[in-house]
Amino acid sequence: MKRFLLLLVLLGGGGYGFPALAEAKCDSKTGLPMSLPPDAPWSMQIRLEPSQVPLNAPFDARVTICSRSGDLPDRITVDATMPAHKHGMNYEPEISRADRHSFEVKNLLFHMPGVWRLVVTAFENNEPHRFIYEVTLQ
Amino acid sequence: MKSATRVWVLAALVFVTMGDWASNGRAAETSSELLLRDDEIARIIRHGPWPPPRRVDASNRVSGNMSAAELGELLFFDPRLSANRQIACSTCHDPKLGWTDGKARAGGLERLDRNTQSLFNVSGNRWFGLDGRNDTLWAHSIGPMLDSREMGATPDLVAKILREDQILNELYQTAFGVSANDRDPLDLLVDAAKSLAAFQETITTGRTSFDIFRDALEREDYKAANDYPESAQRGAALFVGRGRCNLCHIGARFTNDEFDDAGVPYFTGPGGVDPGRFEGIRQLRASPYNLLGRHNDSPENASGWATAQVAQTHRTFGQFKVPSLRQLVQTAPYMHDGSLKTLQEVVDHYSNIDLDRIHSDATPLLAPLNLTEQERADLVEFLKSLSTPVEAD
Repeated sequence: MKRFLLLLVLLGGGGYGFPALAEAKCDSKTGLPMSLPPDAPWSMQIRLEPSQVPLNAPFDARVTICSRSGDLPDRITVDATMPAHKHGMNYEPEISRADRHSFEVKNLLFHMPGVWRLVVTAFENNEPHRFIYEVTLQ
Repeated sequence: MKSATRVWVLAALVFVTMGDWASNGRAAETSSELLLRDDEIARIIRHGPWPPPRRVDASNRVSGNMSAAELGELLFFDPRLSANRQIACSTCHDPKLGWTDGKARAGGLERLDRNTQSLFNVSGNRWFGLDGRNDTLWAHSIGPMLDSREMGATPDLVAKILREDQILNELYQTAFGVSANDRDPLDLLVDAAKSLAAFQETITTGRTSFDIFRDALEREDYKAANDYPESAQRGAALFVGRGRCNLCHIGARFTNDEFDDAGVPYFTGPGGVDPGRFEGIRQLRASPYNLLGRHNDSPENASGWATAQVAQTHRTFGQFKVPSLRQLVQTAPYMHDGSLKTLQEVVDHYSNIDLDRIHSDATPLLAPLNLTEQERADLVEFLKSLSTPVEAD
């Protein structure tokens, strides 16, 4: 019995419960990886909807936290800029939590062709971690 | 026939059958024969096709309705819709002047601070007004009627005209399915505006020499594409290349429907400043006629997401709407204050732009182009090719 309980604890992975419940399953369906800061407690993926971002028309995104060494972020903000011009979007996207590991971002809009840098800032106890994904629009 | 003569005749026959010379004196079998690189061709193709598919405004239940458009047309030219019974919508939006008034600044009951925008292809915009203070064409048709500086009307005045004029009353009944006598003045004002919008939706422009050129490029008919004048081809290359005009003037309508600072001063007079888009957003949010309000006929299909999510940042101060570049030959003068009289002046402005005038703490999108005289002429020719020919009176 004790061996069985010990096995359960080991499978539980450090006191967070079963790994299948602790982490989201990230694969090609959850999107593409975002570049992450060196001290990030998580990795993140983003799926753009549609995958081919339209120029000057609204589109959505789903952001998924894929792995973590700490608590899940309690909130995120999303913004985007054009590095060449240093201006941002003209609209503030609508953000909602889809489930424990992901957020829905609605009505992003890139109003110019060129390179856009999408930045997701995830907060852990008010400490920001910035994740970046670049999109080039023709 | 002597042998020497036979040789000459044969040579002549060979010469004539060899070439199929285009009007520029060159055959353009491949894109390399045009004055454009392949990447420039790809960018030019994105400015079409024209005309775009017709769109119905879901927020306006009489959008696309011909009876409403007929009612709207009558109202558009009716000076009774003003406090002094002398000013109609057509006073500033004259069809003979490209649906504008040919003046630098608009004037109704009083002189205003901005240029009158043309109504060509106005349907399908995301925002209306130089400051984008409205999110639908019908909402934007209300402001001039009620503004004390423009027409100075009231909902009661509009209601009176719709109820007492027999022709208008009958057209209203046909378009809306109810009697004007059974509607309150505010609802009649909004319905009048929706009829005006239905009419304005019909003000469109046709295909231009640029569109013929653009379509030929898309189907890789470079021989037909080479019929487009060389000067305009060079101008097109500048437009999508070094000029970077296509960053804001995108797509078939040559506008992204957003706002920017084009380096034109926003002072209206001594001590006066035009805040542009910054104030426009404030007015948009406060308007009872925006898409988030009760007059939207279909909130599920015309959601107003842009109105709900538009960002009023300090960057928007002094920004004005990026205009469409179609039919410019009829809509002089140009810019938000009508300060530039000709297309040549517009091109000169961008060629010599004063960066100190740009209200931006970011890297300016615009930079002086320092165009040669030929390049300026080429850009003007390109801009002219975005207009259909104007018939002489």
